[in-house]
Amino acid sequence: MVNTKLGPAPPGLTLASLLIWGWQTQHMFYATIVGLLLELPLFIKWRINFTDKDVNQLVDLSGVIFFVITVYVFVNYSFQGIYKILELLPLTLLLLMLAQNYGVQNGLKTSALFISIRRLGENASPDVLYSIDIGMPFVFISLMSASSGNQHSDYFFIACVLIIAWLLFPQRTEHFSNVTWFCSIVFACFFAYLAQGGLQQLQYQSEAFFLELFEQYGWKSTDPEHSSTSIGSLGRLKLSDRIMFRVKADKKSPIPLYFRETSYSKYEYGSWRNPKIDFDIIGRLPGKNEWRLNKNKFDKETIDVSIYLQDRAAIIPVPDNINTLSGKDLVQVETSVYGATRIEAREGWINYRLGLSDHDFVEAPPASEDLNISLNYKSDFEQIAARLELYSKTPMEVIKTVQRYFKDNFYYSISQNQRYTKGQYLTKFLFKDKKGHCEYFATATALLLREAGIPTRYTIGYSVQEYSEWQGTYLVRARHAHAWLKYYIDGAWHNMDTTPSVWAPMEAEDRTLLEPIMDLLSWLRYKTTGSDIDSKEEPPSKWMLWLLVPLAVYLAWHFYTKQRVEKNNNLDTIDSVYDRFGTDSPLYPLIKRIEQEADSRQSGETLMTWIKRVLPDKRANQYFDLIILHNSYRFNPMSDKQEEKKMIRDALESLR
Amino acid sequence: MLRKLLFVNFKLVYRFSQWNRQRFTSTGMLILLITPVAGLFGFDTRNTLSFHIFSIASALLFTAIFFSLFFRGRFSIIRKLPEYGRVGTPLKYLCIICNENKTAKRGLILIDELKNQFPSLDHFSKTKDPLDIKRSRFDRFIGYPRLINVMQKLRGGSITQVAIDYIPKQSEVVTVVQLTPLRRGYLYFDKIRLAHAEPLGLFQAQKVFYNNDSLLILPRLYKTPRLNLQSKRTCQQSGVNNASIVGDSQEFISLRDYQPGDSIQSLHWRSFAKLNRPVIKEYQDEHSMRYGLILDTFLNKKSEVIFEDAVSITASLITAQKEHDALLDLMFISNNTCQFTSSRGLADHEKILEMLACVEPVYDSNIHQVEKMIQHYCHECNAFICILLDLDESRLKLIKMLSILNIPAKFLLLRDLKNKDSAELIQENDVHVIHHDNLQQELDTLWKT
Repeated sequence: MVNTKLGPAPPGLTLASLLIWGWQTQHMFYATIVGLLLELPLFIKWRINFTDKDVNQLVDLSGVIFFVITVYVFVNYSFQGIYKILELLPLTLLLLMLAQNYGVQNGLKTSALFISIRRLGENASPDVLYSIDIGMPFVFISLMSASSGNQHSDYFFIACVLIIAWLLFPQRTEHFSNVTWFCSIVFACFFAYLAQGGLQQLQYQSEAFFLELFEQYGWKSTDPEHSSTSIGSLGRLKLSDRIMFRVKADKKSPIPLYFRETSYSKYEYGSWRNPKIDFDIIGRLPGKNEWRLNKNKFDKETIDVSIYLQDRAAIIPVPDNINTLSGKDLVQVETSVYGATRIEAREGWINYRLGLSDHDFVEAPPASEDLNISLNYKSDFEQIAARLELYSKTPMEVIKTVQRYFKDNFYYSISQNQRYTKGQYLTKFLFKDKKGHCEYFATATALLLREAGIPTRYTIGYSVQEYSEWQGTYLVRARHAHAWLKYYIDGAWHNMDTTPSVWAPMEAEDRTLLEPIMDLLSWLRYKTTGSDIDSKEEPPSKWMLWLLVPLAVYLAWHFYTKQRVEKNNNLDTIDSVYDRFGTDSPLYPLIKRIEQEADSRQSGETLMTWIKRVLPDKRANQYFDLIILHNSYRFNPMSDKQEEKKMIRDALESLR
Repeated sequence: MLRKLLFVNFKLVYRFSQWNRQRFTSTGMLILLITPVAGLFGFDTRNTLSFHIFSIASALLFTAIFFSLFFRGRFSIIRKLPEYGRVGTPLKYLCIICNENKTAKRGLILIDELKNQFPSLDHFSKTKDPLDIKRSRFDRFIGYPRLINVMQKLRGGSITQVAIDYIPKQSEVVTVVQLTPLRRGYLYFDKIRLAHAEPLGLFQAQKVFYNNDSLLILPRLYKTPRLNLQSKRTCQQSGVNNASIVGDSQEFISLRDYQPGDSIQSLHWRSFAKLNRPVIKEYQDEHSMRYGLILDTFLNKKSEVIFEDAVSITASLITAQKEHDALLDLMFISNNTCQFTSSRGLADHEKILEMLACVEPVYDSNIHQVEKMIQHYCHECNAFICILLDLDESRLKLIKMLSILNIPAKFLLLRDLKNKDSAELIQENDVHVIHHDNLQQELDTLWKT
């Protein structure tokens, strides 16, 4: 017969593996105590007779402890906590190991470990219902837990090799010599060493590759001096669903619709440009990692923005009414005359807090470029301005007229299928196609207002409109990128957007089926990578700890009712057992009396032998039939109890 | 569609798990389980050092598989099976392994296999597993545990692996293998594997031998008392010495007084005339009885467990009669009406038991065929024992028919404990209910009542 079940762990191995765990995770004290406790049964003989029910309850309790630890760790450490849970695994399994090592059964039944087998009870097939020794799995679990310590990599490798070799030595095939076994282990370890080095290299290489790939999808800083538009691009404008940044704000308070990046003043052949500009460095507020960009002393409200930076310096999207900017990752903040806000921070996910006020950020007053129209388009806009009689209207009337003009005569489209010569696309938009996307509208409006004598700037940025209930943040996707314009009237810059409002729903129609999955992945990455940023600024959300309350209530109820049922059952069982085994036999009073008169029964001595020993033969003979009857009443389940009880009583009466 | 997809996946999972179980030792399985777990935690080599465990475990498996490739050798194996076995009773058979190599071989493991028959999707969907009640909803919905049980039942038994420590060169060893049959009918043996573990003791190289054999497994037997039914004709002439068929013997012994139930044809007219009272010619073996044993095979929607109980009780009754003189007519409906007479040299009990071993339940409700069968044989049998699976209208009709025919009969109704029949109905028709969970004890009291 071949034993196909897992054997016990070699003596001392559990302690050794726990010591490695203690060494790696800085829990050496606990590791030593637990290890010695688990190895102690090797030196002592007494054992505890755990019933199956006891073991089941211990397993359940271990499961509950594991669950509580998981919730607690998850609340406090978020997803990073998975390594903390891994670290604590040996302690959560301690009860099971104690039950195994100190129990008489020398193993745990699969029915205790697996609920599905437990439910089958006695009907479970012997193929699945058997006793297993969890010693060896525990050694491996201890090693896995030790690995979460993430220290002394090379020594840990050696320790693992030694432990596994120690574990495998008793399992070796005996008809091979020990030398062959040793060579096989060395062979395996050599490959393992190469493999672990290779794995590390593979990670570095793949990280570099994916980082490069990921960066393409990360935040690309806008060029403050140049912006190429898609005016003139053929085909369907395709913007991706990828999340560019997240805005966390109180849902009840209105959030600014537009987050601008920068503005441009000069348009030529599908590109907006600015003259070479210098950024002004904003001074950090004393004692804080905060910068004031506007004149207001206090913030009316604050919103948090999370963004992935691929460079240390980048132009970030901010609303017009920005007042302050703060964040622990920010190093420097600069602004340009065209409204761009550039930050210097570390690469990766960063959070910054925006303080908002009632007044918009003050951009530099218009210059001559803000009224400039390229000669290529001059005649086109003159023609429209004349037709709309803009020259004779006040600036406010011009604004209204232009807005109405675009609203009534143009419609939104993200497709451009007609091919024209370079520089003709804007003209064709105005006079022939009368359809286009936001860049067409913003550019055409800006130039038309300039023709009417109003300074304008072409502005790019994002429209914030999608709120994710389950993530609790506004999601700003690549397809939410938008272009609008600013016009200068009465000494201030004002936003104007002539793009039909259907642009956002139309672009949302192009979302892919994979969007929810990609969102989830993005969120996971955001939560795992960005959690460090949050954890220091915000206390971890403790609400999940409330999960423990119903659990505790359930457990209390579970154990209480179980105990109560068990007690009741026990009482019933005891009663029924006593009844069944006839402990109410009328002979017992007589036995007590004889015990008082003579020597009491010794352990293991039968009633018959005892009577023979303590009573004279003649008297003892009187009791023999009675004892046989009593034994039948006491132990024979098939006998007629009432009848036998009556017979015993009668016999006793006759003896008296 | 989902069910079909799951079913296809079940096949893959089952084969994969079987392959693993056959190839890896218990320690090898542990290493195999650790590998993906360590790989998962060690995915990010910056966060944990689990990748060390992953690489060691992978390297060990790789090494073990690599060394197993060096197992070479020529062997032949012959299986020596007994004539039949019995459900639930472990039986032993021999395997003769011949080492045809020029070197002795050590550390071999003999793994004999019963044929794995994968059920069709239709069969799997229709099969009911009594254990399903105890399973979780998830297990019931997915159905994999049920498939495992179906597979186990189709396979029909479990065979223990046997270690063969040493086979001298060019010689044979005989090993004893133990099989525990789990169902009746024929079990089909498929492959025999000769495994050999590599030095690390994690993986087994295997040589596969295709030896197709079959073994008949008879139904489970219970202790049953001798049949003792009140018959209207207790002194039947039923000799066999000169009769090639069932019937009256021609071996005259003596004369005796007439007793009610004796055939008038046996009257000795001369003595009748002389003594002026009826005298009967007595033949040898006149005291044997002839019982009709009717097995209800119409299972319909009932659990197969009670059908197995019915078959076992039938087999037990037949076996109990083996040492007695009574003739026993086993009748049941399978694809057609089946009737076999046993005892007194007419047919071996083993033949009847073989029939019973292979009897399958019928799922349509053409139970009126049984009525026809009884009508046909009622004049040949002294009494009937009907083993019923249900007590519906058609079966009640059957009971009434036997009552009208005035033939002594005993009705045994097989039941799960959960089924509760009307006590009045049972009492009225004198039906003896036998519950699955209390079968032996109720059989013991069968004739007492």
